[in-house]
Amino acid sequence: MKKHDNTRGALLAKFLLMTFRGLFILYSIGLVLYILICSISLGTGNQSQYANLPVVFSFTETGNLISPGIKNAATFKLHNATGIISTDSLTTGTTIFSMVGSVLISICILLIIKLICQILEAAKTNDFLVVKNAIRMRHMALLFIMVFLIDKIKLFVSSSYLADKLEFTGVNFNSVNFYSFANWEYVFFYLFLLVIAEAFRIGAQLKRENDLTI
Amino acid sequence: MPIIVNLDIMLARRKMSLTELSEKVGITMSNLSILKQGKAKAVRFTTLEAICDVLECQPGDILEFRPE
Repeated sequence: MKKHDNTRGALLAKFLLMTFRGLFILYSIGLVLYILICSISLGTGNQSQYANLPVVFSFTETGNLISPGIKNAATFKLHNATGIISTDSLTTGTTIFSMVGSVLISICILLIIKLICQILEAAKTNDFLVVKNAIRMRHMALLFIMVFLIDKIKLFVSSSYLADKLEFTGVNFNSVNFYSFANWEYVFFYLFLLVIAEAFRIGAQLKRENDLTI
Repeated sequence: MPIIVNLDIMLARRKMSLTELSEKVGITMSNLSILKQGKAKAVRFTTLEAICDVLECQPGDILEFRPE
């Protein structure tokens, strides 16, 4: 039974490793193409085509919420939705800001995938509970936090910059406000991952001591 | 490490090889090698008892404290 579990575990590790390696290759190709296309479009002056700028917006009008079985429709308002705009005329600085943000996030994600591959390779050789893997998990947690922060900074800066520059009938574009701090609970998960990494490190140390106990 | 393991001294006295000791005590060669090289973090009493039994010695003959 134990041998069967080990075989299944090894197969799962192998499958996950193949999947993440494939993801790494695809993502790397995507990033290289993105950087190439952005560089070319910046050089040719067609820079705004590949910039993505997040904005926060609300609808000024109320909408109707139709519920089955209820005679009078209720109304609803849309508050602080996020979206991405593209435009033909952006300053070079704004375009570069957008592209740098996207590239930084992509590099962090690539590094996370690489760390996952390294952990899975260690799992294949039954060398899973080691201090190196704990350090890798710690780095992964920090990279996740960095991705989250870059994303939020990009949203804050972009929405604040564009709030008074965009006009659309029935839509209000908002800058930083209370709702900008929504969905920050994800950072607690990443901090918890740091705690798990520390527990992993202690576990690895205990295992090493146990292995060296004759 | 302040605790020195004088296993090779006892083995020489008893004219026994490490392989022979490993077979009689029931510990793998790699573990005995770790013990002999002073890389072990801890020794179980049961292991110490088995080694002392085979080498016909006291724990103090195998373990020595040398302050750093």
